[in-house]
Amino acid sequence: MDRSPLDTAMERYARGEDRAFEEVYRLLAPRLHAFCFRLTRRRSEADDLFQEACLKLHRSRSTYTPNAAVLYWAFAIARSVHLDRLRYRKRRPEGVAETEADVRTYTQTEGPIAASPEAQARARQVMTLIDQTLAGLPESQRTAYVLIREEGTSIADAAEVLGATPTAVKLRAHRAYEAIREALRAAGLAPEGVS
Amino acid sequence: MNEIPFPEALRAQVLERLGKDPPPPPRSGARFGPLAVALGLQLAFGLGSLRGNFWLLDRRAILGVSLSLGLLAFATLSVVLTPGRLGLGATVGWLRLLGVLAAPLYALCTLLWPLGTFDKEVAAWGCMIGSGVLGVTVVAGLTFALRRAVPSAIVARAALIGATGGAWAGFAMHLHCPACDRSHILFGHVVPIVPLTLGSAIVLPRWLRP
Repeated sequence: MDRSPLDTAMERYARGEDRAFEEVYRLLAPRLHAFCFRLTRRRSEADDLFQEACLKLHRSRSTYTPNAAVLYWAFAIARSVHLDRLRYRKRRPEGVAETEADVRTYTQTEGPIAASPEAQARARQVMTLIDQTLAGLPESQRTAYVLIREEGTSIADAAEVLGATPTAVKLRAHRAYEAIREALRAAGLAPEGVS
Repeated sequence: MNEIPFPEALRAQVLERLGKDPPPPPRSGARFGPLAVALGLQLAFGLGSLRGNFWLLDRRAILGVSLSLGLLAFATLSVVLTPGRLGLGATVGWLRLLGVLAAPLYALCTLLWPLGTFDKEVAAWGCMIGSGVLGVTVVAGLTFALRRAVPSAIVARAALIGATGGAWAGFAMHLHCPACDRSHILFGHVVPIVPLTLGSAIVLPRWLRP
């Protein structure tokens, strides 16, 4: 099986070669941070979650299994930390002040979305609605959607990351799709041909 | 899909936090030492104090039950230690299945397969405590081996760790205890698997997650 440079670097890091962390970080950080952002939807929280996930990854590096996919292993660690933080917040609810900059969603990120201004505006509207709908879903459905739809993970890999059966993951993602479709339909933003 | 700009400034913060962190736990060889000791203890206890009526009972029945319980103990252990495709552990389906079925399977092997009779009355609470203590040593060994190593399906894995402890302790207790009375076997040998499984599912996740 072909090993990705990230997997090879992680194996070196797990063996105790500290210098390999630079390479692991360079190859892993952007994807892991994006995943953290998708889980939390807040920039500052994503930064915290990312740092915490990196720390956990460092602490448990000796438990890394050679031949395992580092990216999904890191995703599972990040999700585990995220769940811990959600549980903690549930026990100690505190008002998290959201600033305009903090609640940046995909819709406010830079980059070309569509050609015409009208199409851009519509795309942003759709994406905002998707973000809002996802925010209202249970964590398990949201994460299944994020992994499969946004990270492009296979159902089998998503099931490993989520610690669930592939059938359960399919069902959760399907419920998320349905919720999004329903929200788009209600807002009159559903693509043509989708009823 | 738009990519979120990655904040390069985070790198310095991450490196600073990593620098303050203590060295990681030992690698696999040392991690599995306590587990090997715990499993050795079960076998030494079971075989070292083999029940007096072992060779007096129906040979087929006693060997069949012993083999079944041994297989159950090894099956739970191998599933709990099997790495999955992503190194995250065996498929959650197997973890749940064996975690839930360990106690019923043990009961099926021991209660539905009569071994004969034993005239002396043996107190069930003694076996219950013995099974609990033996089971806890296996649970502790497995927890040490897997600490910080289970990022997903943590509760299922923790429950199966408890069930594995119960299955190994039950196997050792079956080899040791001469009682053939069903109520003794139920309360002294089978029942301890349940609190070990449930207790582990509640207590262990904090040590297992990275």
